[in-house]
Amino acid sequence: MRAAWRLATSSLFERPSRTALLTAVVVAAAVLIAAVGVAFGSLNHAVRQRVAAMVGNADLVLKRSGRGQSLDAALLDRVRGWPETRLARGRLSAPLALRFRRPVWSPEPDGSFKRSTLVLSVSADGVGIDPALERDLPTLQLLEGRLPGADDEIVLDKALVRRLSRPEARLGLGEVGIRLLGGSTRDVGPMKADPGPERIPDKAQADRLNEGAGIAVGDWVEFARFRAAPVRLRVVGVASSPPLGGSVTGYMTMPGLAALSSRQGRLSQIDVVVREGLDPTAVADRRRPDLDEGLSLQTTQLITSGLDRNLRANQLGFFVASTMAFLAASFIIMTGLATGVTERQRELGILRCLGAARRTLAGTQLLVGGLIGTAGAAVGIPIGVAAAWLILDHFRDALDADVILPPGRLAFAFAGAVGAGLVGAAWPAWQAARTAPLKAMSVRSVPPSRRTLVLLAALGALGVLTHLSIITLLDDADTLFRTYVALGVPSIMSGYFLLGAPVVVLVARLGGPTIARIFALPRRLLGRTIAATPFRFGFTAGAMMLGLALMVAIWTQGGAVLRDWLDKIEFPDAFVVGLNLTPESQRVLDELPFVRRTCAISIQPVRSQRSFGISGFTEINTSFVAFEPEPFFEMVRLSWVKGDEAYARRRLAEGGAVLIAREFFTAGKLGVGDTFIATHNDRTHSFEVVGVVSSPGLELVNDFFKVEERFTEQTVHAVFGSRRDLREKFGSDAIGLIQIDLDDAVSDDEAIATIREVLLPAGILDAGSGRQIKRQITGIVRTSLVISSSVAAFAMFIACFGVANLIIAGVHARRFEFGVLRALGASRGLLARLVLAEAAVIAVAAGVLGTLMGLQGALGGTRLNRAIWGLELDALPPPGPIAIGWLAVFLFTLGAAGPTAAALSRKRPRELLGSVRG
Amino acid sequence: MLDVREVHKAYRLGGRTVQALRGATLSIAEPGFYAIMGRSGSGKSTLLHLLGALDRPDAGTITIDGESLHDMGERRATLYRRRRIGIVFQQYNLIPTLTARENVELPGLLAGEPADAIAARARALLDRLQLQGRHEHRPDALSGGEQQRVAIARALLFEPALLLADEPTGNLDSSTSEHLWTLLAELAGERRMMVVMVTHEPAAAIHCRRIFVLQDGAIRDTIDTEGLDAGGVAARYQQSVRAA
Repeated sequence: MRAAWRLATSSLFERPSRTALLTAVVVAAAVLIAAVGVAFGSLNHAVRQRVAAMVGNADLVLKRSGRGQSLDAALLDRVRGWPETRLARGRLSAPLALRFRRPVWSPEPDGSFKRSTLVLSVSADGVGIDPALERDLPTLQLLEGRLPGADDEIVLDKALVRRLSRPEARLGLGEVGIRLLGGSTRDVGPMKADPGPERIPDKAQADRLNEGAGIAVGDWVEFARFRAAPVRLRVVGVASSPPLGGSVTGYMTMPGLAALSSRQGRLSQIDVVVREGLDPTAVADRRRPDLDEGLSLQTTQLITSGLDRNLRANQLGFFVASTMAFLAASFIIMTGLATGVTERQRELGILRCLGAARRTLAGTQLLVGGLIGTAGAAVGIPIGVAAAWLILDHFRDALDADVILPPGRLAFAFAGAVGAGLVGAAWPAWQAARTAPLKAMSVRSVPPSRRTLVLLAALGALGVLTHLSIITLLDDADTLFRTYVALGVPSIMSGYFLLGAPVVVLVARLGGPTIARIFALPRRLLGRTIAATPFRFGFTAGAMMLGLALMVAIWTQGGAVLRDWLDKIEFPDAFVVGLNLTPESQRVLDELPFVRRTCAISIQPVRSQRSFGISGFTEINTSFVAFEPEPFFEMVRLSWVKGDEAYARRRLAEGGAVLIAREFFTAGKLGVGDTFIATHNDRTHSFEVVGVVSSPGLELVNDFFKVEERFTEQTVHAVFGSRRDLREKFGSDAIGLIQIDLDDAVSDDEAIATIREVLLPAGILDAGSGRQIKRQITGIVRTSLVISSSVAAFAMFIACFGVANLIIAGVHARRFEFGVLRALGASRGLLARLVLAEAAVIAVAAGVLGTLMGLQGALGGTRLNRAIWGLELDALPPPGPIAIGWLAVFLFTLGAAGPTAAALSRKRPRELLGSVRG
Repeated sequence: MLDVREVHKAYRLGGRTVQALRGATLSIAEPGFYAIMGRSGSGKSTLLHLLGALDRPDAGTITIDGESLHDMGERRATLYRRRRIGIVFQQYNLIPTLTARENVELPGLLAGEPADAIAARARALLDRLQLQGRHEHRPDALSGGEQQRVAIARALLFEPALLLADEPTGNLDSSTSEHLWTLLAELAGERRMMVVMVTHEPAAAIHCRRIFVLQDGAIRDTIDTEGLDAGGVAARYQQSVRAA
């Protein structure tokens, strides 16, 4: 062991630049994985915190089935009377439309700054609390001030304070449902405890006052009521914001909020903490029969279990992606160390002559790999953590998540880095162990075995075909997904990697003359080197291909999502979204001159026997989109895939029937005449499927704005039925969305601004146009494509180190040969161009491999999307991103070779000839 | 002590079979400095490699101090090379990234010997071979003669009973070569070990007590050098070669 350690450390320090390059590969991979792990771990933690805030410390939650419904407050006493109950608390939620008039100092012609008033309005979630129970069942985390005691007092969360203070506040990424409606400088009197001076002589003081004039404890805020006088509320405290942005929240006493929202004697839910030692599930089962029809009693564990499962699926994605990254790093290390073993054959032969055992030489290589991996992890992981912190800090306005260090993911990053080194060293270790002393010490040039090239080509093709077989032969979503992850991904990666050497030989043979001409080289000079060491060049091309493959796959899939799915959705002209809109809200809309028609929509997530996703990994619900059939069909132009429209409309009006989104049909789950079974809060009902349609995107609109529900009730796709069915069967008829048909003469922006202004006091979350939302979703998809492309570019950057290492090793091994060339009259420039031309061959091979692998990967993606999510996407190659990817590959590869080529050109012939041969 | 009987060895080289040894037989009973001489391609290096357990004969037997090399497995051969035999090559074959002392210590490191003990032994050997003050120099800072002496010191670390030298002065000038041959003879006497040197130079052979003439893969003659000078040795060698 000591001998192997000594030899390993000697080997590492012998060529520090090459050791540094290989270590940099692992560092880069570890940075990426640690950063992604910490970022996603922090976001997941924030999601859990948010859900925990929603469910509190309770064991059970009692509420009415159906969204937006409320309970009789008298139920609270009844629940408190159960012998199993240790604590019970009522919760009330209601929308709060808040206004704040803040002072602002603006410049005057005489150079002074005059005070005026700016009105800021925000739609927030209101939560009623019982201050007496806050210690045992906390709802909020107080940062400043105190809890509300009187009914006209309010605590604002930090994000709400920010929104009510900063007129220039930028809307961050992911901002959903809450908008600043702009301000007015109309002077209606300040609401601050200390409004500040009327006039300021200098700019610096004005800037200071403007900065500090936001809402604070002691100020007043206005609650805007629908067609009634506003109510003033005193700000008595500031609480921490819910993580991950979303709705901003104001906390009031229960009676105060109930009075403002006309919900006296009502509660949104009752949280129950059971006595020590009792099983909440058993308590719920025992008490459920006592409850009235329409009441739902669930354990909080049930609520969070779906979330846990979905977060686990997210975790799986992280592990798969990390494994791919480390596998790619191990390929690069393998190439680098194998090159080193080949170069040091003579030295290994000497060691064998001196009595070094095979396992000592093998152990040396494994130690080298392990040390490289460990060093890479030690440097890369802290950098990755810092990068994650910077990213989360940069997006703090939109994603308010504390940075946490998830031990599992960090441990995985460390193990992966060390593993990359060890796995990469396995083949060189075997090579070194096979060293025959005499053969190793004899100076003999052995051409690469043709048989080995053929074998690599065969194995590579096998890997590629294995992946193709999986995606073409398997139909069942679960089987396809599991087989794809366990076998398909490793097969395609190793398949194309192994094809690297044969492809490089092919490129050198077919493209070599052209490349030689471009670089002004003698014809046969270029091909010779590559033919002598095809494996090194091939594996290096294999390492470089991964980034391009990612880029091609990402843009092929992303383009297909935009073109074949999102573009085909015909969103409504306009819509209003809220937690529980009223028929009064709809009447107000109908009265607006530019509104032609409206249609009230209720959306309820339901569990279905034919849900999408992967069983055991994800728990995905389906949106039940309910409407009044006649007005809906008049307004919406549905595209019918299957079914008779007349029959469908009749059946929907009768009840007990649904239309299904085309994705159900594409995924082979349901068709016309089948039965759709839906379950919500232990109520299960069957519906006849009477048509297959392209979704008008209503469930997307809903999901876009209701952030909290996305955490616990993830829904994909929709079924469409009547509001009567939803009311009668699931006890829900809360209007969550009003679809609006606008007059063609009015502009979207004008219409939406008016609708917001008019309906703000009615408790809307937001209003928007179909075009706006499509633009926003498209923007989000494009942004994620760009972010994913940066990951692909980073992968290419990692591979650069491998290229540089190979080029340096190659130049080092051939320096005597280069000396001979110089002695025979070759110019400095020719040597440099030769090195660059070799790099160009690697780039071309990487381009070919990467493009093919990317397209094949995209094909796999479309198959998975079809089977799992029912999405029908065409994997059309995107020429633009492919071209950019090729350009990036060339730039990175030639850039990696550049310094070595330059250094070689500067060496004098005598220096090169004086080198020890081979 | 060293007994080689009817040893045959063939190699495949570029598609054809080369019979390097054809029934080579020799025997050495006592310590001393010995030479194996022959023309290029006579099989000298092949015979040396077999004596060094670097390869196995196709037929015949090789015994050193009662230990059979001809049927030794790979693992035993490795251990044998580590402790029982010292080998010096024409091209020195020092590890370029290790110092002179570290190169000498290398067999001890491979054997897992205590670091202090092998370090002390290495220093002593380097001093004996007139390399005082060169212990911490790397091979590229040493002359050819110095490098070869480091190689010799490495070969002597475990005080082997047999030291094999394959054309050890092939890359050295005549003066340095002369010094080296004298040194090998001294060591043979001083340490009571067999030193077997492969050479094609009669000037080297004069330092040896006996010369085995190898021709066409077999030992054709044995020349005792007592009473002969370099010219005499050369003449006797030429005579042997012509007679064969």
